[in-house]
Amino acid sequence: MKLFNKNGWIVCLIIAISTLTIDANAQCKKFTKKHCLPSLAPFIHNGQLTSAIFNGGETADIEMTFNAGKEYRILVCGQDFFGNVQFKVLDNTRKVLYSSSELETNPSWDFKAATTQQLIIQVSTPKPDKKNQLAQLSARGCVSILVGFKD
Amino acid sequence: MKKILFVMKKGLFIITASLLLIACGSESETVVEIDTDTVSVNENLTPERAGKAQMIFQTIPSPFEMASIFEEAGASYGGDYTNPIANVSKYTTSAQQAINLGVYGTDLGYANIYDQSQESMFYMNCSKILADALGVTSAFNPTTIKRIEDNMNNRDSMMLIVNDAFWMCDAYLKENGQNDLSALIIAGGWIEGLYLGGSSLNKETPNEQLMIKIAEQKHSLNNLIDLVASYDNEEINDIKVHLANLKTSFDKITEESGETTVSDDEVPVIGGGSTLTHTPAIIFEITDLTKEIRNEIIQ
Repeated sequence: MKLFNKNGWIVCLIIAISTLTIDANAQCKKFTKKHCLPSLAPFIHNGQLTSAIFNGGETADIEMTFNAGKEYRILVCGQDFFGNVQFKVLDNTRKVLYSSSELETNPSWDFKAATTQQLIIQVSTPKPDKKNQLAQLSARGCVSILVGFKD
Repeated sequence: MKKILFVMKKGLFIITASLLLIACGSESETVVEIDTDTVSVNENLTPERAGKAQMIFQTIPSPFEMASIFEEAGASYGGDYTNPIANVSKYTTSAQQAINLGVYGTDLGYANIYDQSQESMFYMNCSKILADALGVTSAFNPTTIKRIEDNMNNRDSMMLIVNDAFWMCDAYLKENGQNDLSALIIAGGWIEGLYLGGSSLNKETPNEQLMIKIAEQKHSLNNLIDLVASYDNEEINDIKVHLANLKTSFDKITEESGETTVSDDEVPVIGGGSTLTHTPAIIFEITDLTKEIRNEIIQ
């Protein structure tokens, strides 16, 4: 007995993946707008709000130029069910300049740039609990990395 | 048997729907304000990079920040440097519209930084025309335009409102699978910013601070090259060639590594790091080439 023929399964899979992706992206935008952007004030966002759907235990690097004389706020926020998302700021030799606390929810860091340089913001999500299958399944959500500046 | 199959299919549907709900998390509020993001994920990871992170994002400073940097370095305003508003009707393809939306967005930021209210309105209108042409009618909707008009003399508010509008464009394009157009907007904005910064450079008596700021765009150029590398079509390949040519010139600026420091101040200060060394000749080469590229893209 066949539940679906081959094409039926492919269509079902495509629909499921598409629905998941579209909905996840829409959820991410809503989350960022409502829960992250307000915390960036009074800094002015840089016009490029970087957000994506992360799995638990995943890392991402964001490379960006920070200009001399400007003050910046880096803010990273993730959906609650992740636990606390953390970030590090590295220089181009990957020396750690700052590391957020694992106890901080939606961590942020304000600093001034005395010289113009390329820095890396390394974001990581907590690893999911392997004993809990449901937690592994749901440990996928939006993480937003916002950078704001002021004169 | 048919009934059993129907029940099983129905069961499969319910399981699939449940999994989707679980995976989508708990965020369920309706947000009617603009929802925008700029995801610039470079998936072309080198093995070295891939070992360090699963994703690499590339970002570059906003046109407002760029204009602010050049203004502080002593660049003067020139009303005739910006893209003539009459050009807006020339852009008929999506790629032209996207890249020149970036150009006019930078002109808007530039005019605003220099308190040129009238010009700001002109460039906002050009931006609106091109955003509408790309199908993003909500970016410069009547509410946004009213907010811009009301805050025309408030530089910080203007930056926020205009950046929001550009985020809106970006989100719309990405939602519709047009990430390449989004990259063109960013590229157009950056090229125009570099062009404007270089336009006020006097070759007889070049402003050293301004030359330093132009040299420092070397970092952002590398980020931009990585950003556009993710896409492959005729229009973006043209931009890739332009950026590669610029890189050849920027690579003549030497970079010397140095230790990065962080102070213990209440607001920490990051200092040190790499040092760039330029000559006026290299900077002039860059500004001349940028002018050439920019004049080509606005045609």
